[in-house]
Amino acid sequence: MVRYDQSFDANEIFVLMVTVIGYLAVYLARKQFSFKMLLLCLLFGIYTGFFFDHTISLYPMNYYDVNEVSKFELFDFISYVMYGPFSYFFIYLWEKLQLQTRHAVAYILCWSLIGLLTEAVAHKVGIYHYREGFSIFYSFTFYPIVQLIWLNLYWKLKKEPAAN
Amino acid sequence: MTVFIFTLLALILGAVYNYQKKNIPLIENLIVFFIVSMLLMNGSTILWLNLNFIKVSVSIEKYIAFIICRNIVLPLLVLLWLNLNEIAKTFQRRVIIFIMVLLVSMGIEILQRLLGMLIYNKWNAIFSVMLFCANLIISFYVWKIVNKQERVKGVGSV
Repeated sequence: MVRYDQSFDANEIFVLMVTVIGYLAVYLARKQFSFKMLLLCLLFGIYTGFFFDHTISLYPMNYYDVNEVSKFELFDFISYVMYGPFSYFFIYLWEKLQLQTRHAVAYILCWSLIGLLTEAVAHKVGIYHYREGFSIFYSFTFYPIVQLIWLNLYWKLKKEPAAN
Repeated sequence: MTVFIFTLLALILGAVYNYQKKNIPLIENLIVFFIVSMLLMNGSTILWLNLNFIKVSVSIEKYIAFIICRNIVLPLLVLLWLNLNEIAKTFQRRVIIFIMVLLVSMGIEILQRLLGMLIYNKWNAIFSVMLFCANLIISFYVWKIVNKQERVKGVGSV
């Protein structure tokens, strides 16, 4: 087990700040969607965080560690919850800006750059500790794939009466 | 070989789910899928890394097969059960479906152990049955709660 630091410092403050601000923003902008759609939007972001961190950050892959220890701890859990508002605003802005299918690539590119920037800050404050030659540029390949899946799922759900 | 087996299993379950008659809308299925997946991911990581009750193979191939099982096969099985449970008309049928799904889950776990993907340390099959039961019950109540929620419509509501 690798221990990076033990004190309550920048990484915990960053996670708490982004989580609180993110969910506050979701609360203020909650009326755009039905409750189920809002829940699904939040869950997709949280699920994505869980999926990658519980897949490529575990042995035998172990490309990075999250927060202070290589084991699973409370702040790891909170840091996954932090991803929820990002996937919500990804769909929220798509609707708000009334974008069309032809805008999808540019939109995904913009959000991938936002993701990259956020990850760079998170790495700087000590949330991610890359290992085995992994770097932020490898992460960049995951963002467009996840966003494309999410956007497609949203388009499919839009056609469903139950989501409305 | 392990990746092949579990990819095949995931595809078969996916096909069955696709053709299955569903009374539950897609959005509710997805919500349950994500919650069940997250529970399984958290549960397996805690049991493996924090408590050391189980051990997952260090072979990349077996690890990928384990991920397919944890993130696709088992959550899909829960969705299949949830939809079948909704269609079943009598209590007796519901109990039979529950037991069948539990047996399939256990069969998958036995397969994982036989293929060397999963090793029990301080763990046994009874704990696994209890965990699968808890998983099914939680997914059922999650769906019940989500299903009861009324729609809050706003401007440009989707």
